[in-house]
Amino acid sequence: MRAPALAGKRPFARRPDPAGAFASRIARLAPPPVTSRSVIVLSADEVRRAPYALAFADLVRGFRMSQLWGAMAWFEIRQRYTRSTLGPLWLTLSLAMYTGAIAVIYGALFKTPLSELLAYLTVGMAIWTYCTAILNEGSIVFVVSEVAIKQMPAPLSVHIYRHVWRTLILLAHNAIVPALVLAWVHPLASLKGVPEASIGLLILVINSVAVVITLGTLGARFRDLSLLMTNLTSLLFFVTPIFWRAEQLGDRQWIALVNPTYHFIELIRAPLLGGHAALSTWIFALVFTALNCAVAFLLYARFRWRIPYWL
Amino acid sequence: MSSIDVEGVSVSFPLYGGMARSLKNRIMSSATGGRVGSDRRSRTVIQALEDINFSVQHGERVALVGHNGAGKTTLLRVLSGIYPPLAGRLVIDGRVAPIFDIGLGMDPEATGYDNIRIRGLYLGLTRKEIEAKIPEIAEFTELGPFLDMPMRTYSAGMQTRLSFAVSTSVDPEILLLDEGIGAGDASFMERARERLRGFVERSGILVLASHDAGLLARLCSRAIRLEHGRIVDDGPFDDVMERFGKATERHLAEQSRDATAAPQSDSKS
Repeated sequence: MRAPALAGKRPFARRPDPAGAFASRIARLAPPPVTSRSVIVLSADEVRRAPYALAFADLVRGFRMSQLWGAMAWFEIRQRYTRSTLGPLWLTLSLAMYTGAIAVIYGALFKTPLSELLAYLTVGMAIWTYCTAILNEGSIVFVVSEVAIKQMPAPLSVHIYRHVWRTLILLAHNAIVPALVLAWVHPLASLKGVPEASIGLLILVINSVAVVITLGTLGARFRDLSLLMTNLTSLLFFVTPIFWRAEQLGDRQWIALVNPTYHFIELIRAPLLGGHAALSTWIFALVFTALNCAVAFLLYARFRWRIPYWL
Repeated sequence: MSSIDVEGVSVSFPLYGGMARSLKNRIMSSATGGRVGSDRRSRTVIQALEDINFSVQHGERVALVGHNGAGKTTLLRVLSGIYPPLAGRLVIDGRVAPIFDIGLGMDPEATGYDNIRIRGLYLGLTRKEIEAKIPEIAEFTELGPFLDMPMRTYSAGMQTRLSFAVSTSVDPEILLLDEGIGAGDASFMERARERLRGFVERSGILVLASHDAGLLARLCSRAIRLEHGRIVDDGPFDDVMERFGKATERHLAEQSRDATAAPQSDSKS
C-alpha cells in the first residue's frame, strides 16, 4: 500500500464546519460549469467526510443548469417523434381513444353517467401515464446517459431533472384530454379546483425527483431493476383506483389506502372533479414525501460518486 | 495562471456480472491493461490508476503515453472531474474543456447542431451564447449539410471535428484531449494544430493522450508515461520518448525469447 503522502499537508481540519462555512464549502466542492473561472478540488477524503454537503451541492448545481436539462428533454421528445406529423400528440390521441372506449363499457357495466365517468377516467389515466413513465424509465436515467456522463463533467442530477422534465412535457400533452372533458362536464367546479390540484402536482413532482434519484442510483448498479420496475408498474396499475373507485373495494379498501400512487392521483384528481382530497390522503402524501426524499438523499449522498464507475 | 495538481490519486473499477475468477488469473500480469485483483469483499477490481502524483503549470503541454489500457483515458477523465478519485486529491485551477470521443457525440440520435448545443450547454454556455457561436463552429467543422443529420451517421473523424470545434470555441484554459483527435484527416489536422498552437501561445495547459508520436512531438514539451496505471516516467518529451522506445524494444525482445522457449514451459505446467 502507498504511504499516506497527504497526511502532513491535509488542508482541511477534521472538525465540523461552522454553519456559515457550509455555503462556501458547497461552492468550492461541486464542479461548476467550466466557463466560470474557479478552482475545482476533488478529494477522496472530502467525499468521505462531507457526502451530504456534496450531494446537496450536486442537486443544486444540477438544478441551476436548467437550460441543459431542458434542452436535453426537448431533444429527446423531438427525436422520438421525428418525421411523425402528430408527434407526441399521438400519446394524447391514444389516451383519448383508450379512456373513451373504457368509459362506454364501464358506463354500461356500472350504470354510471358517461360524463362523470369520463372525467374521472381521463384525469386518473393522464396522471397514471406520467407515474409509469417516471417509474419505468427512472431506473435507467444514468444508464442511457452513459455516453454523455463519460464525456463531459457535470452534476449527475442533470440527468434526473432531464427525465422528470421530459415526463412533465408529455403529461402536458396528455392533459389536453382531461382538460377538454372537464371543460365539457363541469368547467367552473374544475377551475375552482385548479389551485389545490397544482399543489398536488407539485408534491407529485417533488416525489418524482426523489424516486428517480433512488431508482436511477440503484439501477446504475443493478441492471435488473428496470426489468423489475416494468413488472411492478403493470401490477400497480391493477391495484390503483383509476378505472374504479377505492370505495368499491368494500372491506378491502386498505389495498388502495396503502398505495402511494392512489394518494398522489387523488391529490390532483379530487379537486379537479369538484371535491377535495381526504385529510388522510394529505397526511399520507406529506409523510411519504418526507420519507421518500430522505431515502433518496441518503442513497444519493452515499453512492453518487460511484455512479460513473458503475456505468 | 492555470494549474493542475494531482496528489496520490488512485482509481479502481469494480467488475460486476458474475465474472468467475480462477486462481490462474488472480495475479494476472500482461503488457496491456491495468492490474486485476480482488478487494476486501472479493469482488473483481481493476486497478486503473494507482498513486498518481504530478503537477502541471500553465503553458505546459503534456503528452500521456503508454500501452493500450495503461490508464491514459482514465487519467484524463479523472482530470476532467468525471471520475472522482477513490483516494488522493486533485486540484484544478482553470476552465477545463475535455475532448473525449467514446463514439457518437453526446447524443447519438440528435443532429450535429443539437450536439453542438448540448456540448455547449455542458461547457457552461447559455443558449444565447451558443446560438451566437454556432456559425463559427459550423464553419470550423466543415461538415455542412451533415450537421442536420443524426450524430450516429458520422464517421470517427467527423465526430472529432465537431467535438474539437465546440470544446475549443469556449476559450478554455485547460484542454484535455484523448486519442480520438488522430482520427481527423490531414486538412482538419492542419487547422486543429493551428488552433492548438494559438491555444498554447496563450499559455493554456494541454494534456494529450495519443499513440501518434509525430503528433505528440509537434505539440508537447513534456511526457508522462503510464504503465499498469502507474507513472513510470515523467520528464522532457524527447527523453521520455527515447526511454519508452527502448523499453518497448526490450519488451519485444523478451517476448520473442519467451516465444521460442514457450513449448518447454508449457509442458511443465
